[in-house]
Amino acid sequence: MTVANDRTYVADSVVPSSKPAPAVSPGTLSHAGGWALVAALLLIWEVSARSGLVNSQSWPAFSQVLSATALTLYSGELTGVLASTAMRMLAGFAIGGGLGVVLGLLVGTIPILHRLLSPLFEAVRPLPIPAIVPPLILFLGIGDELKIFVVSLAVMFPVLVNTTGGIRSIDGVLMQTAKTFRKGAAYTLLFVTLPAALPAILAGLRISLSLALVTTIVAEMIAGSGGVGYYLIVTQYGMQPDKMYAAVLCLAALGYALNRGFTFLEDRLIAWDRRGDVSA
Amino acid sequence: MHWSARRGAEVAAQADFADAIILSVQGLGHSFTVNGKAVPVFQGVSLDIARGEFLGLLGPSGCGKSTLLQIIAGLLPAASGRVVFEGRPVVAPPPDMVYLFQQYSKSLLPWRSVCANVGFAISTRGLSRREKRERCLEYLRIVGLDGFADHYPWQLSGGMQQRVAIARALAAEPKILLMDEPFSAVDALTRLELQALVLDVWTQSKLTIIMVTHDVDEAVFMSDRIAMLGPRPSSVTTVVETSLPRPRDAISTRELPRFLKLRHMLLGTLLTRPGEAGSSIASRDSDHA
Amino acid sequence: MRRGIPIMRRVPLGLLSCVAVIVFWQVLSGRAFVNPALLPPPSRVAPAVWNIVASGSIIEPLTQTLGLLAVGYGVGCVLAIGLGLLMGFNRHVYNVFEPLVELLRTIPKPALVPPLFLFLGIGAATKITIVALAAFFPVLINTVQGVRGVDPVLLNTARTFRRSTLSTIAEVVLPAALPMILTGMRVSLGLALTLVVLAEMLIGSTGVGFLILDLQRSFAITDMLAWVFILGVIGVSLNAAFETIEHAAVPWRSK
Repeated sequence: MTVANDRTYVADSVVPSSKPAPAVSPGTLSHAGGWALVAALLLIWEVSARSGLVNSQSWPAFSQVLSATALTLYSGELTGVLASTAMRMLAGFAIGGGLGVVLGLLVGTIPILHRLLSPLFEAVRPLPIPAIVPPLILFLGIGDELKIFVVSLAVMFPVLVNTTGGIRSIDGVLMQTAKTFRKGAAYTLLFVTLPAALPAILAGLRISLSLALVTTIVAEMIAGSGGVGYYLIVTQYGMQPDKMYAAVLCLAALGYALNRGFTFLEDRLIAWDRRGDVSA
Repeated sequence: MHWSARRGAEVAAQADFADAIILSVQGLGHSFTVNGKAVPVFQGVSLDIARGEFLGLLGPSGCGKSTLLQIIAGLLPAASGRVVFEGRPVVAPPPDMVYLFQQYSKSLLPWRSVCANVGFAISTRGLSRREKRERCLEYLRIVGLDGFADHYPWQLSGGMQQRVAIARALAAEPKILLMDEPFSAVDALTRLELQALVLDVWTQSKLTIIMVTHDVDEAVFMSDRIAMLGPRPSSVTTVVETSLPRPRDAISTRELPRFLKLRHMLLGTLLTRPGEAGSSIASRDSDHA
Repeated sequence: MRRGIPIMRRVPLGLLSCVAVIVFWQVLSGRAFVNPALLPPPSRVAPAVWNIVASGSIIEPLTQTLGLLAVGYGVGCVLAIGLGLLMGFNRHVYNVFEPLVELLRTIPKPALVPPLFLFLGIGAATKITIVALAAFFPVLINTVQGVRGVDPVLLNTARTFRRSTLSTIAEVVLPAALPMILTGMRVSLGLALTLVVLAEMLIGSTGVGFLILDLQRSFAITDMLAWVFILGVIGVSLNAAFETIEHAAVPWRSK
């Protein structure tokens, strides 16, 4: 779990224990139990599919899924669609993220803009993404432009809101300190506002990363052309559940890798931020 | 029946059977693990607390006085030694004992009104809703907050929040109250008011109070006895009787020669550099002003 | 995130920008280079919306969609809060479920639509399962964080007053964790709405999602936009309603 700080549990004594820890801590044991659970479930999956207990047309065995994964990755069938999805996603993320940060900076630092535009953004935000895809298809077709546009749009809003929020919650003391040292507006923006709001901005970007992946898939599914989203639909209608599950697996791996990569960068960039730290 | 009369009756009933020593700390030691190494905080701490006394625990920051108090309260296990409360060893928060937190505003339940917060300390068994509210109001009256019964903690100032915490602690009708730097977060004037309130409550209820503080003036002003902890790894370096007349007055008591002498001695010890700290144990100053 | 200005004072200016957008839209679709078939002006979409509402043709698709949303969201939240409480309290329960949750969490929920369709078929059960799965994870994670993040001072307060475990959980932990749980539920609501619309677009032939896609394919643009607008209103209302509940349930927040 991405709980940034390790807080104590209610069930444990709410106190640091001064007794020596046993050789194999019960924590490690239950952790192992966790992985055992996953293994057990995979086993049940395998057995239930093989034994025909469940309709095997839609329920491939785990081993079949694994072999399909290897096959389609090697043959490039899956790699191709994954790569195209990833590229669209990253393009949309970059554009939407960039716009979101810039607009967020503007709205965050200029109060009148915030009062003017925030209600508009908040009115538009709850609109479900699948609902805006069909209208946009009319204008942009079903190619890459559509998908990147939709992703940018979807990414922009959370990033914008988080950036604005981050800026507006900067401790007034910091801003006044900059004034006391008579720093100009540009200097303050670059060297005080931006770093101070960085944790919030990065949090918004991190959230948007998984949103970008989801949106890309949604767009591909609805537009019905190219990418993993469409690939999933194709394998669904083609009754190739093993390939379908293989794609889902790889998507999960992709999402995980992206998230980890981002968190790694995030930690490097804002190692100084102790607000999430309990033990500090 | 008024709460202090209730308490007085209880205490009187037990007087014949009660020991003079209500709580005994025996050879207590504790350490923290920092980066895998055990850093001793205090060791060999021994104290006997008499029933009904007001004991001040004084010491520099980091000497572990809060930890010590939490161990006494049963909230933390001790690494070595033990605490005996009314003849029984303390392993978990015992009945008749309440610990008052330093961060009192965090200890109040923000979603409950002031009255309901006080009610948190009262076990509901056998009490109707109205009776419970009456009890809560009673305790709020003691601390002067009965007009704020239906307010919420976030609507109150720091000093008022601390009063609610005190009222709540009293509502549990404990025999001993452990206070952890209760007034360190309020301004100087509020502090004087709260000190007067606590002394007043103490006098009426015949409670035993152990109060941790880093403020020498406060310790001398309020306590019967002061136990001083040295710097880390600390132990009890000095125990003094304040021997100041009661009731204590915020202004005149602080001007007594005896007060100044004690203050001089204690501050001197506190401000000395660690290596030169006095190592005498239990020196009793019998010099009266 | 602080709200610097109370919402009532923000409305007038915000309204201004919304009106500006609508005016801009109207002007844009009047221009020669914009095909009015593709971008009908608000002056045509608005009556279409009115028609849909007044004629009652709004009822069936809306009840379909909202019904699926409600059931899926409800199931997802209940299960998530239940498991989240257990995981938050007990380290061992947490350890046992953490790998599984972490693995499942990374699967983008839309990707589950085709497998679930194959597995459960075309009916409501499929869509409800999808929505429940989407709502489950944010609520679970926030519940766990909420429980684990209860201030130790509060827990120790309960201990010094010798409250039973049950009392501590019900009277201290749950109220303290409530703000985080509600945040998770709000995030899940948006996600659930997204997925019910998507599921309707990909599976079956009922509900608002299907309708929007169908209208687009048959080039009934005005009606399509009318329905998109209606869906937007639903989304905003649900969000606003939830925020109202949040503020009422946790008035002490950020005070």
